[in-house]
Amino acid sequence: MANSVLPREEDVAAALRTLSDSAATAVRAPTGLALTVLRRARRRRILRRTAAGVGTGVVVLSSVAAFGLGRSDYFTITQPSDAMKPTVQVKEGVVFSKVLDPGLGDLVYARVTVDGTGFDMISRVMAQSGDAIACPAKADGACDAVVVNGEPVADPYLEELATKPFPLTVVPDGDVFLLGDNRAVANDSRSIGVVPVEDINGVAVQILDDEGHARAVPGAPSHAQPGDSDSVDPADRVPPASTDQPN
Amino acid sequence: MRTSDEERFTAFVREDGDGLLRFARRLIPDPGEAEDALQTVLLRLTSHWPKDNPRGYVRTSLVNIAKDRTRRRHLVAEPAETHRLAPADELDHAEAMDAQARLDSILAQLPARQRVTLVLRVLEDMSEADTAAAMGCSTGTVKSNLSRALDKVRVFLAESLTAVKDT
Repeated sequence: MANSVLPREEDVAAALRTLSDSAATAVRAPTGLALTVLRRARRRRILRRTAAGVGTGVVVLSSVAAFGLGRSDYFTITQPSDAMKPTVQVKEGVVFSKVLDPGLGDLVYARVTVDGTGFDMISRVMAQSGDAIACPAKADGACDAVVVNGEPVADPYLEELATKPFPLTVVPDGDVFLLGDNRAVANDSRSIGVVPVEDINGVAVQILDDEGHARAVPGAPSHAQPGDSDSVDPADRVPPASTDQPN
Repeated sequence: MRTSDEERFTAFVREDGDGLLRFARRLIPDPGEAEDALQTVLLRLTSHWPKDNPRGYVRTSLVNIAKDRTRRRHLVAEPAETHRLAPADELDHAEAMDAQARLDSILAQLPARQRVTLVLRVLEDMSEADTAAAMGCSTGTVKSNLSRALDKVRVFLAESLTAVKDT
């Protein structure tokens, strides 16, 4: 019974069409529509440009900061072995410079490869290119001091000057001869041979004890220290203000 | 946008604005939301201007907005109760306003996709294939959506008729 009251689909569609046609004039776009849209578009353009400018600025600044602040000329290594006793004790820190060139007597941080395995070592430069280094045995089989180019080296920082004798080595061009300060135990150029200068990654400038106090490297030439180039007040006394001011 | 472009854009909106707003009103239940949608689409159009077929672009965008508007339910305004007596400030348009209000109340019964299908197929006289292309669905979906929409409208019309008879 209810079904007969329902209009057919085509009638519904037709009714909707008629309704929509007669409603056609009821909807009018607001008069200022185009102007509103154009104004919004302009505002959005300006906003985007500003945002892009600010964004670029932030990116540039942060990359400059990342490059500038993250870089330092120094790094610190904690001594893991007793190869450098008594100069550097186990667990003490050694501050190395990345920029200095290794000189005679310098403590260096070197990357060496033995039998295909690479490891890092802290050792002392005892002879450079062209030098002849040896520890000649005396009559009783012991060696009093390392001899470089015919001159015995004093090595005042050593606990025990006596070293097991080792034969004469002439250091080739571009290489250095490294010896650990603890001659009895150190694994150095006596066993692994000379080390190329390119494999030296740092030159020690100071030693830090367990409490963080810095001290100079015994037996090494003096180098610039970290923080020397910081722009702080001069270490000299500041001159007092002038007392003869006009009244 | 150059000044000449802006002038052409203004001319386009003056020419087609009424028709496009009417289209938006049919697709979207809430009158305010329909106007918002049209403005959004026109704003998008300005960044593509000049466009070969600006009218087609706006209509397609409106269909997309209308059929997807229920996807983010929390952002969708509840359609306001449509008043049969819309503010008829112009007496000449009283009948048109009345027809518009009735159309609104009928279309308000339908969910978004059924509503869009009905508007495109019946009121805009588009073919099944065109409607399917505009809505990004198959012709079968268009058919079923249309038939469900017409069913609902039919029942609603019958109910409103009996309601009128009863009172």
